[in-house]
Amino acid sequence: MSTSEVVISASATAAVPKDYVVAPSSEIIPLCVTASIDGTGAATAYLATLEIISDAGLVMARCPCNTLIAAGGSADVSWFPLKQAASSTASISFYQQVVLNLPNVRSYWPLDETTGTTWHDLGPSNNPMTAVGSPIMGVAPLITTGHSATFSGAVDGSARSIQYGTGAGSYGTWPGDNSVSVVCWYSGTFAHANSRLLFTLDNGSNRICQLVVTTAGLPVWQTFASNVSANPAVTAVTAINDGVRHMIGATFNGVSFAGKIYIDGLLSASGAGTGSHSTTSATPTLMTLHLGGNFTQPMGGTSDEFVLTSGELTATDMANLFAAGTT
Amino acid sequence: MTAQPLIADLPRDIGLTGDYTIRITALNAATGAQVSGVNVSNVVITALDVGTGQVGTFPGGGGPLLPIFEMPGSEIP
Repeated sequence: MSTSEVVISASATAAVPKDYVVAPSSEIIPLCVTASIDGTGAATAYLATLEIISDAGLVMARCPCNTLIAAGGSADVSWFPLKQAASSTASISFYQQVVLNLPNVRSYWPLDETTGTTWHDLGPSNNPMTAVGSPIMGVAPLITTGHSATFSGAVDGSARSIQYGTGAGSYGTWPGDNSVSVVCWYSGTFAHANSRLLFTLDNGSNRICQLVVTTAGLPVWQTFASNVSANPAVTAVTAINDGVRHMIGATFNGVSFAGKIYIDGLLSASGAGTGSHSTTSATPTLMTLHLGGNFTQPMGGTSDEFVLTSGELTATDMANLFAAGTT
Repeated sequence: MTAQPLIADLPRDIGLTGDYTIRITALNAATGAQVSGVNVSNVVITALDVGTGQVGTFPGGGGPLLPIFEMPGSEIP
């Protein structure tokens, strides 16, 4: 088997989306893609975008040109690897690219740090999360790259959580229609005597949304019309305390008030909420991990790759994330 | 048309096997929805063929997949 450079060219004009399918029984590594983009007929501004799509039809990578092209505008675009692996900061992983190409990402904590008390936020909110109580950092990742963190789930003599993460910065006025999604990975074999909390999002005084895990290990996605009543509460049908890594995705639609929970990239359950919902209009300020309600119900186990968005992620987004984290 | 020259990032060292697709499209920055009225032309894809060495074609309007030179020392035992 040899390695050779190949060039494929197609000068003909075609409407987007335009697909180029890799020939069967071959494998290529793209080095550069150039194209003339004619947006004369475009009524709105747009991002010239290259997507890599698997043979199963999943979008494995979405590579927008970050310069917004005005309505009616045109461009000659070249896509090629820009980031150097030898740069001072770690090069972005494939999973991180998939996450950051999701629509409406607000915060993204990969939990890749191996020391210290800070988990950096790669999203536009840039709200670093503080590791409190020395959770174990630098644990083997639950996806294919990076690291994760293990939380004890233990409480102190006052029944307060010992180890947790907290992001205390403001996320600003929540854009869009108050939709919200959270995605994370978890692995553990906890056997707590009561329900526990994997994460919460609140405004410092009132809960906005949270993920409760029952004593049977079933995740329950809750969003709130008030601080007290979940609206809706959606319980997944798959337990996550079997010691196997799981990707948990939870979404809330701010228009229909429907909640959905996904396990390992597949829809597990959904539920309908009612109106007068204050999910995110309260300006979220605090994201916490493994910190129980009233600090008394932290959940033990290993977590990885927390993502917070201000939109409702789709089933395709969830499938793409799971595929990116497991391949 | 007056076309502005732009660059964009591409994943490094990502191997695409048979039936994977490279798609060029135009998306709305806020919603991610496809924007209509945009055409693409003069597409050139430069790639490293790390497969069987078999010359294939790109269906869907692409041209033939033609090796242009062998890289010395690139033989994989």
